[in-house]
Amino acid sequence: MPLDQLRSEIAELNSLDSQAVSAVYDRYYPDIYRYVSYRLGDETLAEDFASDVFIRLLEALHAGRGPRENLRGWLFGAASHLINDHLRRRYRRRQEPLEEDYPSRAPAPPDEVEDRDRASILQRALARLTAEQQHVLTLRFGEGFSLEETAAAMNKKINAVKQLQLRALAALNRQMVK
Amino acid sequence: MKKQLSDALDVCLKSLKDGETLEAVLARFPHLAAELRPLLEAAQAAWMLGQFDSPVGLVTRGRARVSSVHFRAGKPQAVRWILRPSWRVALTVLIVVAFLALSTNSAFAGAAQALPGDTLYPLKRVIENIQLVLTTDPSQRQVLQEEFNQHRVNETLALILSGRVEVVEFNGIVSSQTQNGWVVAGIPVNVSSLTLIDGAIRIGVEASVSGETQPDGSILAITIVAGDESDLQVTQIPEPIETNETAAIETDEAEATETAEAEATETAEATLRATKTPKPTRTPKPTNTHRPIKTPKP
Repeated sequence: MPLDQLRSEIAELNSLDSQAVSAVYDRYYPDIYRYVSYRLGDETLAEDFASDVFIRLLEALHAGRGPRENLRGWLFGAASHLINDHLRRRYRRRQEPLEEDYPSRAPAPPDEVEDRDRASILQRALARLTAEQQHVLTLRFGEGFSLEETAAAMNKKINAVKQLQLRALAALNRQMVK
Repeated sequence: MKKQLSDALDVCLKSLKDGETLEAVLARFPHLAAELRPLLEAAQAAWMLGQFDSPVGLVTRGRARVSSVHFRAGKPQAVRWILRPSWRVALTVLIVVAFLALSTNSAFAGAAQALPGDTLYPLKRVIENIQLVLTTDPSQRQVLQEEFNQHRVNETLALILSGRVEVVEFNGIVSSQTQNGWVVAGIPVNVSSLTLIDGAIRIGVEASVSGETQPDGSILAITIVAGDESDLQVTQIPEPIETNETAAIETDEAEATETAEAEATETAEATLRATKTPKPTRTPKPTNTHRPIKTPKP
């Protein structure tokens, strides 16, 4: 989307126009849902958190603290913060192994059980990375963002994203073989 | 060296994404292959984790939740300047002009008839909200609010009759209980495991419902919130009758549900025929449900 279009989208959003809010919601909700679902591996939680991101956006707009230039980055950032808070609370509340906390993504036919198990292992490995590493992997591999898009969403330089991605993949690999 | 590795990794990721095999990609960087392999294997796994379909109805369900917050939260910044006396006069003139235009201007006329899901529907809601903001007399505002509540019910009934599936929200009195939920404002409201139920939903109490119209003429509730208990019209509810005959209960329940549904259909048709001056129905009609039934678990 061109820069001037992005700015007009934010300007309309700041006016709290219902149609603008709906348009932003329709445009970004599926991406935010996918992001949350990728990180948590739970569809029900993903729906709740994705909605919460937009509720946070509305609250921020009402309080005059809405995004100024990078709406997409703001939304993914808010999603990441919500998930990090949720995981922190979960760890504090219970010291049980992570695998008992993560429900399976969806009921799968018998021939997909192996894939589901593999996904479950990956999910646990991902959850053990730092929040920033999870964020970069989710944007790059869950959302399919390019390096440039990831850099914009994370407010980082491309080279910094490349390094972060490298460290995140190395960490993921270590967790997977553990 | 690290920069070289991260650049090579980026090239390899692009190639893998384009469908090249891992071995072919690694063959391009033999001196870095040992380091790249585990990274690329992790990347392949990370991609695999992202391969899933979004559930059906995802956007609609989330939209109901977010939009209900949007409408409930109001628009403080906008309202603040609207409430200034100088602006109030100007806006009153504007609103009068707008409503005069309602009968002639096709866009405004269209908005007045708009249903949830229509392009002009947000305009209709904005006009209603402005009307409410500009009504300072509490009793008049109450009347207006009830009139708008009735609009929501009429819109829901119109959507049901036309077989459209849209997200709706309305308030109404809980008039009876069914196997899958309740009848609110004459409309069967079903709950699922995903429905958020807030408060004790009892016959005679007012409830706020947000949900999705279903092809079978019911509403699948996303949220259902019980109103103030003081609104509960206890005298309308007969004393509970204890019985152990489960079969008889089931038969009665089925009959009560049928009656409620038949009433809802009749109300729907009647309301749609006479839409000129909709009046809020706050008193529930007594139905065949003579005993409180256990609240269905979502």
